[in-house]
Amino acid sequence: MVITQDLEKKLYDYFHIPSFRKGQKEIIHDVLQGKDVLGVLPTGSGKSICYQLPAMLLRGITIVVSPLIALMIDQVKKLKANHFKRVVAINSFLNYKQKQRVYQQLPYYKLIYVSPEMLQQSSFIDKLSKLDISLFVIDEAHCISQWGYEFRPDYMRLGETIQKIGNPPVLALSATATEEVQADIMQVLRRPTMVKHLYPIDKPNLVFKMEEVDTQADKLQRIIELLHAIDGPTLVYFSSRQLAESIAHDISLRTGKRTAAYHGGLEQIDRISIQQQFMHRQLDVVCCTSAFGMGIDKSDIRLIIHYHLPSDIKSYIQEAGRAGRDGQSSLCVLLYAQHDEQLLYQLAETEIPADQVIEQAICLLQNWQMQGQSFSRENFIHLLDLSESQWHFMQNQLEKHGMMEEGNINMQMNRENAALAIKRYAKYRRDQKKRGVQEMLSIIHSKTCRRKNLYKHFQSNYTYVDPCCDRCGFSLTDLNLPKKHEVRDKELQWEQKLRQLLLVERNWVK
Amino acid sequence: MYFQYAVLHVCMHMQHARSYAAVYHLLQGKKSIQTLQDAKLFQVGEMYGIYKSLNMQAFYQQLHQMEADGFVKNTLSDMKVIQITEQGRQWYQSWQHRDFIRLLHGIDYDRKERIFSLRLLLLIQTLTNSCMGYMSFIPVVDDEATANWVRNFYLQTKNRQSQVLAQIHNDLLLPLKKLPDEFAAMFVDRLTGYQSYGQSIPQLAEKYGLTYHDVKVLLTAITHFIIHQLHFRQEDFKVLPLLLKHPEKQHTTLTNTANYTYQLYNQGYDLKEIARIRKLKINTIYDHIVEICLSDPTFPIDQFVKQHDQQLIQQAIAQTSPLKLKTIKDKIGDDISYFQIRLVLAKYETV
Repeated sequence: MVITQDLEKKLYDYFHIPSFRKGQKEIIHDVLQGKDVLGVLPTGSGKSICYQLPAMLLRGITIVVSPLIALMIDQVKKLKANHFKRVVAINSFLNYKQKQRVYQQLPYYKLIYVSPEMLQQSSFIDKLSKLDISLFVIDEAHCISQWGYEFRPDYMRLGETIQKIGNPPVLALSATATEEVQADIMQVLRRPTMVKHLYPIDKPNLVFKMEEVDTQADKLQRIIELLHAIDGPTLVYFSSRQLAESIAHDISLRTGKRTAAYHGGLEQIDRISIQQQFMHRQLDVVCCTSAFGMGIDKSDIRLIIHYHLPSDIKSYIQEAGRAGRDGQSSLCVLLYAQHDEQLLYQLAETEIPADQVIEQAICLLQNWQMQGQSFSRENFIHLLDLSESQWHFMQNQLEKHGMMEEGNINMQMNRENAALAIKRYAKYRRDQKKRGVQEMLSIIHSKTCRRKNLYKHFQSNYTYVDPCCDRCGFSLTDLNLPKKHEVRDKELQWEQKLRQLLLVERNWVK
Repeated sequence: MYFQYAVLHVCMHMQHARSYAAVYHLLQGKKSIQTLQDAKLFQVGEMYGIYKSLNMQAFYQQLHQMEADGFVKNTLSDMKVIQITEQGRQWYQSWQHRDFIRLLHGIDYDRKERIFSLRLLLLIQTLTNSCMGYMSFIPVVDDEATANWVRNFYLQTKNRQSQVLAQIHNDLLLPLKKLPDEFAAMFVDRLTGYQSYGQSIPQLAEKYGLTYHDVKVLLTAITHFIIHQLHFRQEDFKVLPLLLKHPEKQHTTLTNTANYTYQLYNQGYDLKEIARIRKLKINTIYDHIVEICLSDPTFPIDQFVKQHDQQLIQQAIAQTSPLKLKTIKDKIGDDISYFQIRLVLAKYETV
């Protein structure tokens, strides 16, 4: 048993962080006592520490279920950079060989991240049930609830899964859980006596502004004005890669700020570079899609602009919540032009395959199996002309309905029923996305306080702050942000730059 | 315009004998027998695989752009052959930066280029951070094989890191100084050191007023040039040649499946037996043999094509332009198979 007085020291030893943020210590304390805990903490408050530190201190293994594969991979990378090597992420991105290797050394790990669809495979559950598991963590626990914005059917069976692997203590974490959702979580997990640690997700240092503009060109003009008015690291969110790139170009031309684009279309090296340039103050502004930000822990982001409508309230709170983690005043501006929502509706269509495509996919697999052909990911994607997210949707669904196992086709199941179920789920997802957009729109058109409208879904009341939002009478001049005059290094000749980069002293070479 | 120049260069050499897809496959480095044969036949081996991540859609967009610029025409016709206009031809012959093409050595350094670049990027990031006593950096390259190689190298050189860095500096300075300043600067901007992350491809494009595709092709060209220097003046370099050692695979251009056929062939099986053992069509085995012949100039073909027939085929080839298998076959008649023609092409012919 770890004495909790030592927790600060442990935190420093493992993570080089001097003190806990609000809520962390209380949650960790209860977790280490073996209690079942439900924690609701705002984004950016360091939810992951709540299980990463216990994972290092507890005797057995900690399992973390997370639906965000990118986040999972990112956290593993960070832990490894921090010299914690006994960590792994198991998800559908691993190929067969990699999976086999990981499976062989499962008992070696202290912290195992798994994606929810992996827990649908009974062979994998069998493997887990043989391990000594000290803690079972559900990240983004609101996905359990039908009331939640991101209901995930594969989260429904988590209660069962936990029993099968020996009933370890449970920690459920979320940034956005209403009372209904909290009740659902405890019911599905079959833990009616969870200790609740609830912290408001409302951040008093954020100021909200939603502006309706006439044209897309006006948006650029507003961005330029805002960037002139506010100094400090800035994110501009887009739902289109091309626009993120072209506006990044315009911003750097018109403001002289160091600006770059970030989106899923970049090479892996470039993604890491842009993230890290922003972290290390080599960049002032990043024009990004929602692919950016997960796992980015930059505390001094002062301004977050949404060029496009966010896909739902929860995404908006999450993206806006990346501002001002240091507690300093920060501004979140959403720019809206009429019909902006059309782009989101189109996106929903390209992300989830149409009924026809689902039927074709099942036919194709059937044919392949009859001809004794093995599954080819490339051909599957090519023949059905799937987008990346459509492919992930299909892959998950096929595995879930047992038509695919470890990359092999397995079609003896009742495929008509499965096709129906997949189509029903696809429709459900499309409708859900539409609802999310409509709720976001209603906030934009509302004449009442932004803060109240944004947070009312997630907590019973909100903190009154001044300045609050444009509906409460805020204008840009109210915001008192320090102006910084950064002296930028002069651009060096390449030979000097190479010397400096490789730490070669001038007189040392010869 | 570097990318456009590369496309035109390939088209000029292919002399309208191939579709735009062949040009794409060559630049993208498709591991197919047809593409490898094209590379040799039209003497554009240096262009093979110089832009691996190029996708068909982007290539198509670029072709449209070139058509709009008046360099090519008819890319949308049924023949799908890229035709170079007079304007395109003139630009191709007079463009001031056309010499960059000489930096490229695609077919020779096809796989080495990727391994070398990844290792160099991660090695420099690791050594510089370690020298500054900071080991919690986020690696720019997250490729397991590269990470393992760098880890080994790092452990072996642990107590002389600053010397190694100085040697890398000298090793890089030598080839970079032979390049135009702008190329060298771009290469250096891409590197990541301590608390200083390298520029992304779009950032480089913006900074140097080029397109994304130009930067991709140029970075490959610069890396090919550096590797080429390492090969031919080994004694001048200390550390960088080590980055070329222990490549992941032995044969540089042979596909795995052709390699397996080659092994069976060397064990004395004839082609029909190989097809039966491998449960493949005989035509697939023919493809493998042509591929082997392309990758190994000493591979004897006499047992597949009689000497006399080889001469016949070569005569027919000499009279055929543009080079199309069908045209050649029509000249010779039914006694000679496509497989035999392709073997002779692979063995002897370059345009």
